[in-house]
Amino acid sequence: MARFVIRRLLQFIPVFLLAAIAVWALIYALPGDPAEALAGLNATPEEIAAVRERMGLDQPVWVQFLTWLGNAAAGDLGVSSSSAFSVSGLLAKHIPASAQLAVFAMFIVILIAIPLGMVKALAPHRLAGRIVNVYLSLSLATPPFWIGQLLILAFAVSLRMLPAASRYVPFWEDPGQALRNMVLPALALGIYSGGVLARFVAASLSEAMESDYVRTARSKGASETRVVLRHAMRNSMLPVLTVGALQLGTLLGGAVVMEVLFSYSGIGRLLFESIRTRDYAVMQASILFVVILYLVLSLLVDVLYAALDPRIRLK
Amino acid sequence: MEENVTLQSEPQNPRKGAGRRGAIRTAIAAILAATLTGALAVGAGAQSSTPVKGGTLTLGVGRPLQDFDPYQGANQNYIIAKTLYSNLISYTDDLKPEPDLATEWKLAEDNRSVTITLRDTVFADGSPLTAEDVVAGIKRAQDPKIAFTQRGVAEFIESATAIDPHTVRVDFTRPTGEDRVLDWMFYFPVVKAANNNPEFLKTGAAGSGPFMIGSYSPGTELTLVKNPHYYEEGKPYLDEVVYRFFTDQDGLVSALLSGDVDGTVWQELRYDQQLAQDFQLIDGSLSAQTQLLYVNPVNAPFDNVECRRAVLRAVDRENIRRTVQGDVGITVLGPFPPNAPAYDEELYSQVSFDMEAAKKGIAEHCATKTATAAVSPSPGVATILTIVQANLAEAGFDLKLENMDAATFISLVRKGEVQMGSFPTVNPFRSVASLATNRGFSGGDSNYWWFGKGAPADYDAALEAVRSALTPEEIAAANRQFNEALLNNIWTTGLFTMIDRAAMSPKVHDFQFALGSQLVLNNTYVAE
Repeated sequence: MARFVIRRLLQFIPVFLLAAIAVWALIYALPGDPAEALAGLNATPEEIAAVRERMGLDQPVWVQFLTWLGNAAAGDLGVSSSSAFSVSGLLAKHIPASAQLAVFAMFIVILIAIPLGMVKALAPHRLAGRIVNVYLSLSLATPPFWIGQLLILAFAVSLRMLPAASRYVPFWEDPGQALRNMVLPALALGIYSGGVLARFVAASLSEAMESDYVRTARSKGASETRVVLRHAMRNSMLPVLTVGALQLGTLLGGAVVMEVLFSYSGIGRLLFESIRTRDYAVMQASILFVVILYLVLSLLVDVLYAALDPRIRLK
Repeated sequence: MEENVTLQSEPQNPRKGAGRRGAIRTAIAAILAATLTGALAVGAGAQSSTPVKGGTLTLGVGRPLQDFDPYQGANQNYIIAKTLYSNLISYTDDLKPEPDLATEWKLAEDNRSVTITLRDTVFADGSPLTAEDVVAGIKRAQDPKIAFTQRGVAEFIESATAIDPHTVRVDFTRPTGEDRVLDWMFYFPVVKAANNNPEFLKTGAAGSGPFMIGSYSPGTELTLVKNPHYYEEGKPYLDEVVYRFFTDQDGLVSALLSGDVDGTVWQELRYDQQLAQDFQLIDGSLSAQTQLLYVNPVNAPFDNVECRRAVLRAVDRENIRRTVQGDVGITVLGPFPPNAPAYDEELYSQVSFDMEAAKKGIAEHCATKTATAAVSPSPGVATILTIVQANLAEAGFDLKLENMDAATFISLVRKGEVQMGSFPTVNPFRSVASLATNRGFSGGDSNYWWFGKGAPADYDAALEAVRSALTPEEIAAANRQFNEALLNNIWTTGLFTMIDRAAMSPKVHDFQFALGSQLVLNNTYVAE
């Protein structure tokens, strides 16, 4: 196991480098000059040249990239051209906000997905199963931003129970305020993602319930609850784990639209703003953070696969 | 010995003695100015006779802050321009100068210098504000690398000398009229010399305004706290102002409706109906900015001035203003708002909306009858250009629209590659020379609309006349020469005076916009 993890970690290096080059190339492919955008329409050529020099854009692209890479390897991600704050400082502020929202949203996703998926798999033709079916269709057909808008209108604007603009309050500092600020964006994310995951739970559980080991368990006289929870659910969780990890990655990497809608200062909003202002250093760091996140999550999924299914050996 | 004359006088009327035509113009301007000042008078928040001291005002802001540098005149910085800094003078609504950090100013008789007496006060950090700070500020305004928007308005200044700690003499490169000097003093913020550089002012402030920075999280929140050293006794009333930044307009308005914020600044006008019943809707200054429509005079088919004129005559400005701004703002044909001395709508009537003239002109003078307009993401621009597209279609001209982000738009304009575009200009106040600091109006090679060709000679001559004019008669003649040169070579037309919009809950009192649409919170207080 340890060798597998180390080998996968070493594989991260070329993947990370390729991603860094790709992101850099894509950023430079964007039309428009960030120095001109920052200096404004009426700036003189001298002002623009000075801004370009301050941003390091007066160097050839490959020099800029290598400088950035060298500094990044030493832990220096540069300075935001739009705010002059250090990029690592900005990431350190925004990542915990997204992480807290992601964890809370994931909690809601699991609360929705597991029971609904089980109902759909175990009682597909009963009334409960049909209701779940309707809910799953609706949740998948409704864009999360619209769910977010409806939640804001209902709970913030009409009832004035919860804030429309969510602030990041660390959970360990003030759990009440943290929950109050996160509940609407987390619900908006959870309703949609819960629907997606529930379908996987249902499909996977249905397949498991038809398998030989379930039939064997029943023939040995195991109760239906034990059959489902002890035998079928555990095995059906493997594909669900993959989808769940990807969804967690999406949430951790910043649910851009939702963070913008709720004015929540997570990594998604930081990325959105950096694209809008052509803040190359922040853009590069934010996107690479998401890349690393997915790499780590895929590694975690592989490790968890082995833990959940003894038949899988990590080689 | 040099004799001095004070500038603290009624603004001179450059149109005085301009005859019957001038009188008509003056009357029109007076009516519009009355409308304007009337609008401004109701443009402040609810007023109460007994201000409440203390408390926090939380405002949702629809634009992110760029930095704390008052030399960067971008409108994103309007939330800090008059809250963290004080300028030399301010203007009343009818452009009369009033002391701010300059308590007195005297223009030399030969119009070659001005001597300014500074208020005996300190910066927010407690250090004394001296003439050396003004001298250092002027030096920065002369450095093309770091002057930003101060460079243009200060370009007539040769040097500055501290006479004593509270007196500074500013020498000009040539005899300069008082209007231009006053415009510069109005625009000039006094920044602590040691910190007056773009690097420091990216993350910190160094002013003497009513507030100072409490905390700042870029893109998220800025907290200002009361400046205990502010020169106006008892002001500001508020202990704290919190700006929360919103990227999404729906989110901004929802935050107001839900009570998360006490007010919003720069929300789009489409929310007026939703907010009108429960909130105070407060208009920014009508004279701060004019929305303009530009056509590129260098590339075909707009390289023919008669084609440009015909195309601009097809534009139904009244319809555009009503669609974009509703009942607020004033439709204008030229670049000036009604309270500017150079406002002359009668002269600009030769490019007023006339579909028949447009059809005839386009048929006769436009070599090709197609062009592309660049649609930047600024509020209202897509609507404006869509209406222009429909107007031009009716006149027999096919206008295509191309959407682009702000950075691309700026790059293309600066390269002279935009055929048609619409964006606002910050208005000059008293002097047309101040308008010419905008590179869409500047002379010579620096005008980006005349990219690679240079502005026309008669336009350059008119700018020179504006810069040289000293007496009211000379100023009136130079203003007219400027307007005529602009019309002779027409590459831009006014659409309407733009307004910024704020919405405040009823508990917010005396919220105000300055004449340039910056936020003024000296007198603001919160009371249930």
